[in-house]
Amino acid sequence: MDQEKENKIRRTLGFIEKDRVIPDDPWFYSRLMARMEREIGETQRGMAASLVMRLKPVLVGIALLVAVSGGTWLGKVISSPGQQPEISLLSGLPETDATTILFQEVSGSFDEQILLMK
Amino acid sequence: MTDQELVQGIINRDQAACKQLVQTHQQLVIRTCYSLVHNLEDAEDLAQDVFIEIMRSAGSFRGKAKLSSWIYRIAVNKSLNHLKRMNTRDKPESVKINPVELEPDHHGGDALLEEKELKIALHRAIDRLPVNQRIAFTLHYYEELPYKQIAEVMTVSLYSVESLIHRAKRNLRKWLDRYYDK
Repeated sequence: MDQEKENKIRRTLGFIEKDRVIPDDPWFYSRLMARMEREIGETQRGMAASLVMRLKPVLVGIALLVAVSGGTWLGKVISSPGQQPEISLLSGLPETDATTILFQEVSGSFDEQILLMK
Repeated sequence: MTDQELVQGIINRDQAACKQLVQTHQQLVIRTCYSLVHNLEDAEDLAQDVFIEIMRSAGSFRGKAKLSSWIYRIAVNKSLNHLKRMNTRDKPESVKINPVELEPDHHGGDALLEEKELKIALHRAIDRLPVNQRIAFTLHYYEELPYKQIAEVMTVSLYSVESLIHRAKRNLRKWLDRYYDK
């Protein structure tokens, strides 16, 4: 019984010789390279995404600044007196009293009215 | 190509150097991982992790020890971390005895059954060893490394390696003795 057990122990420890034989895998290198490329791609995508996330507040800030400055500039241009296009157009018209024009259209010229009165 | 030239090639992302590194050390790495995790698929996945780690951190190799010693150290660390992760989720596969595994199949007969039994007993016995004894034992018996290189891998003295292997053998015999008593 003891001898049998001793043989079993010896065979178990001797099994290391068989257990240490690893079958050769010719595709190991290809699989490793494929995994590395995949991981590098994922890392780069992750880095790009994190860069966008980090820059997001800065980009939003810049956009707001541009919008506010643009609005302020436009407001200044429109409200400055020397640069009002509508006013300059009106100033080109002859200065005539509106009531005079109406009177002229309804009743003819001032001289005609004098004659009529006479 | 010397170790330093090979490492320099890896740092420079030279395809030929990377291929040579993998082809030269593939068996060594897979076997080291397998001797600790006892599962070939896991060992191959871990071996991939080991090579990726080597390629990433080739710059930290100082050349004081052999390149293979540095690779062994990475392989051992990765395997132990894997076992830790497995232990937190579940016990390693080899520790559990699956009764179906010990049933004779129709093709192999008794010889195959005995082989399976020996394999399970061996793996269970190795798993029962304290970590340092397990590393020293597997590096010596699976990798056939001399004590000096084991000391380099484990960064311990030569005397410690001798002691660890001696105690590992004694513990294995003791455990197997009890195992076959049942």
